[in-house]
Amino acid sequence: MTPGAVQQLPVWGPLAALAALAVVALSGAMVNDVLAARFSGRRGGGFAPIAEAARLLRQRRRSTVAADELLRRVGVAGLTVASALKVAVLPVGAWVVSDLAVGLVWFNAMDVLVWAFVWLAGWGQNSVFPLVGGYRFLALALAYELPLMFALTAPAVAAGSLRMGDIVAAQEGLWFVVWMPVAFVVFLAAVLAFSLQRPFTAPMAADIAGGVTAELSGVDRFLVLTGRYSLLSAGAGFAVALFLGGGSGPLLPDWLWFLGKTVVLLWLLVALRRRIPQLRPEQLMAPAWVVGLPLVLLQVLIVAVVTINGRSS
Amino acid sequence: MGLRNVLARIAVTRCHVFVAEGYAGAGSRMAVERLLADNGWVQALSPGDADILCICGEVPEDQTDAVERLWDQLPGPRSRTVVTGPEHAGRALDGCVAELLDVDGQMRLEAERTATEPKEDDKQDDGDSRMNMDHEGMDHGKKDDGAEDSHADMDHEGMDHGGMSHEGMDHGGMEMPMPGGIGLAGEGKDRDGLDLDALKVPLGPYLPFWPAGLVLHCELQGDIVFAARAEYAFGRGEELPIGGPSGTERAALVRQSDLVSRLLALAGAAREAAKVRGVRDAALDGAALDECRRSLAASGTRLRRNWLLRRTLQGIGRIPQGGAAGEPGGTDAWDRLLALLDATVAGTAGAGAVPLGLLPDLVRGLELSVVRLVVASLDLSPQPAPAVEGRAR
Repeated sequence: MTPGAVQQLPVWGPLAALAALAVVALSGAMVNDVLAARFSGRRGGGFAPIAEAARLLRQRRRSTVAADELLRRVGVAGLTVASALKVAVLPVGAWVVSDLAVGLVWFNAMDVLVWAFVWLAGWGQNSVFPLVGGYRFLALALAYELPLMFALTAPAVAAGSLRMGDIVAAQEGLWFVVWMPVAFVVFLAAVLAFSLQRPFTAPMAADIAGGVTAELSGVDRFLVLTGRYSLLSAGAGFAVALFLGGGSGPLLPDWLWFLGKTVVLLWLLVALRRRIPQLRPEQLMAPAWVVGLPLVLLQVLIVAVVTINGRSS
Repeated sequence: MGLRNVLARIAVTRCHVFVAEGYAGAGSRMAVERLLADNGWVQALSPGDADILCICGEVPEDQTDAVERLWDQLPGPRSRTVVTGPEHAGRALDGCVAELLDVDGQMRLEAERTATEPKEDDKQDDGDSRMNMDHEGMDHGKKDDGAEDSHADMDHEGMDHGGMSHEGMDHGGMEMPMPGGIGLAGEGKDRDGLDLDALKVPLGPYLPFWPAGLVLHCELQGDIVFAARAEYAFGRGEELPIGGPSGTERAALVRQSDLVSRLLALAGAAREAAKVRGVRDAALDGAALDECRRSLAASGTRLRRNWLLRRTLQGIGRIPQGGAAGEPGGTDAWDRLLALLDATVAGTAGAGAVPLGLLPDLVRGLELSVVRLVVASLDLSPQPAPAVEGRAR
């Protein structure tokens, strides 16, 4: 495995990555609102995220009595920060902001940070419904995290490296999705879960008046909503890098292939999750651990056996 | 046209409206919900997310304080209106948009709001003692957190979306420390006999997807309701007045599809909820009843195939067998949803109203989300019933 499979961007790299993330996330939000508008028989809808942003930017921030301001702000801003940090190790074609040797572990660590951020946002508001929402997320996270970790293991084992660039390079002959379908599906489900999308919306559901977001307004709410779409976009990007061959494709430059695949996958996820009803928070644990975990372990076993055979022959 | 005006113009294309249904407000609420969907607006889940507070129907005298509390929680720019009949909904919301667009006026109001809040505290000194306690605490919070929190008193109990919150937190007693004026939660034994915080949280009467006027005084341990008391803050009012030869039949269809869509929305099946709601709106517009029933039948077929939804609703809120006559004994939320849908399709009456007294026993020991689903799955008796006590052993 060559460590120089991808090239680190100079100083403007982080800015470019952030801008790309913002554009991709905005496209996801727009697609969501276009679908929503079409469903309810209206035209357009693509402008809705802009209108929502304008609305929230002119709205006054409110805070609850005896709120833990520091923790609340850390949690509220954290979702966007976590997604930005994830994208830092994501190879866009041949470019990456930071070519960490343990990029995959970095991604997973940022994902676990989301646990803390959602919970802190709920706890910091000192209010019942956000608090219940925060704990609901922990219940979901406990269920999805282990299957997610093992799903991440499969590409790493096959590539023999934790470096994102190596994992992409290892798919030159065959995309991992072809022989790791279970890991791919579990990973996509986990992406929906850590970005708080349906069916994993219980932490901010209608039955607890919006849960984590119940008391948020103005820029706080803006950050949380942006964070959700950024996390979903980052998740789609990692799905492309880990399973869909990264930037490989004919004719077009590889960064364009990568972004194209990411956007298409993001839109598919947005459309798919609109059709799934929400899970009750206590209902995920059993299927995730009794069905999902054994299946994904089996997947890792198969991948390991195939990889070892391939190396020895 | 300054930047503020531009922002305001863009913002009002997507207003968030908190709909509070008062006495006899069902018709107005449906008209407002309809307008929201047509305009691409959003029904806010909490007042903290709303630009417009829309009160549908009449607010009884003793509820004005609760409505003021809701109003105080709107972050601003904000606007409020009362819709007293379905035909007034459009004009009322247009008026709100005009207010929201008045950038200078909103700035002035916000400045006044920030400035006058301490005085409001003084004014309410002749209120009950518990409220004074809260307000003193609020002032304290202000000193700590600076000007930004000067509007914090609107939130002083966090969970008061129901507007009834001043009764919610008073169990801390005077001798306990009260950060920010909020009494600490008391203690109680949980299901496993461990000491856990017990928090009193009223659900309702102004809560989205909730029977208008119902208040469920819950005692929470974590998110488990271990005791509850149900009462009506005010009655529901007469049935929807819908004219024409098939008036009552139509009213029944509208009412039942409203109940179905509410349960579906809470269960997180937004698509199906919107479809059933669309049928409701069509029926209100005077579409042929047969047409409506066909759409509902199609929805019923789709729902029966939806195993995720069945998993969410099956087995919760099962009413014990052999109750009083007319009670849908032995059914769970999933059965009741399908039965209600089938009854609507067949044009017969639903399983019948459930007495309020059943509720506390039904929700005891359940998680909050399940409690909401159970309440939404019941056609609760519209008559104001005396409060019923329910307590865990």
